[in-house]
Amino acid sequence: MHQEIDQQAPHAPSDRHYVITWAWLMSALGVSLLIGALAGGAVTVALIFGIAVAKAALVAGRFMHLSAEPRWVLAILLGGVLAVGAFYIGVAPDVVWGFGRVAP
Amino acid sequence: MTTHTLTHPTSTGLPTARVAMWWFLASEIAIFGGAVACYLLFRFRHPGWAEHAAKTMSVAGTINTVVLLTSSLFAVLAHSAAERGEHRRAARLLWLTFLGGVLFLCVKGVEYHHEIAAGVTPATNLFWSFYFLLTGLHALHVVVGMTALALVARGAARGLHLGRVEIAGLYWHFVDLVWIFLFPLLYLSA
Repeated sequence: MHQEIDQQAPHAPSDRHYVITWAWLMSALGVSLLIGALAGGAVTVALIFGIAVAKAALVAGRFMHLSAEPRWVLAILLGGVLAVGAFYIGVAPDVVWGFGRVAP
Repeated sequence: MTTHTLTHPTSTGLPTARVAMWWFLASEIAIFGGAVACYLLFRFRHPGWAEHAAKTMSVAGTINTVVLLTSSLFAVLAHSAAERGEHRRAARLLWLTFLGGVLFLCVKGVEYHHEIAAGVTPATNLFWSFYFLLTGLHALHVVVGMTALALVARGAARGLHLGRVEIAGLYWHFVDLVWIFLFPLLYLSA
């Protein structure tokens, strides 16, 4: 019986590799909780979100094997990110600073 | 006898299902990204939301983060087993991933119960509207992912369609990725 498995897939890491990645993710979660509990302010928030980005990169790169995919796959996903970024930049002046609001 | 070949070579060099899933995930980025962007816009406008964020159950959020990260590990191990042709192991790992989804929804249910019992609903204020919208939309994706995992696990147990293990896993990892951002946004940024 033929299975739809891609032999050309460049990713074939061992199970140990995945467990180590998971351990890194758990450690990163622990660090972000610790930072959140110990400190406050803008630097703390920036650190917590920096760790979240690092965790997301680990999941995307190692669990989803995005780092082994052709670059055009990354371009597809970046298209979604850019659309959200354009929306944010376009709307932020109106929502955050109230530009264009007509006085009652 | 099980053989592991690409049955339908494509012009992209990747299985069509995988390309389709990447396109689908790009659209999901726009959906969740749009909702999160709206939340951030209003959060910057209303610094007082930090008080509301402090009332979310961060312990429950932490447990759910551990559960989702661990279930993601099971999903990628299932993919690894499927690539080696170990279909029964792949099926078992997919069911463990499914169990992670069940656990996540149970914790989320307890969280919602406590919040609603305390008088907090989506109508309370804009922060809680966003909270219930974002976590509810995410929980809906968890349910869809669990359904896909169950269907794929049933086939994998019989050695069928092992290529789908990776596709279901990609979706599950994305659900995990979204939570990685929702957790600090809603629970830790108080």
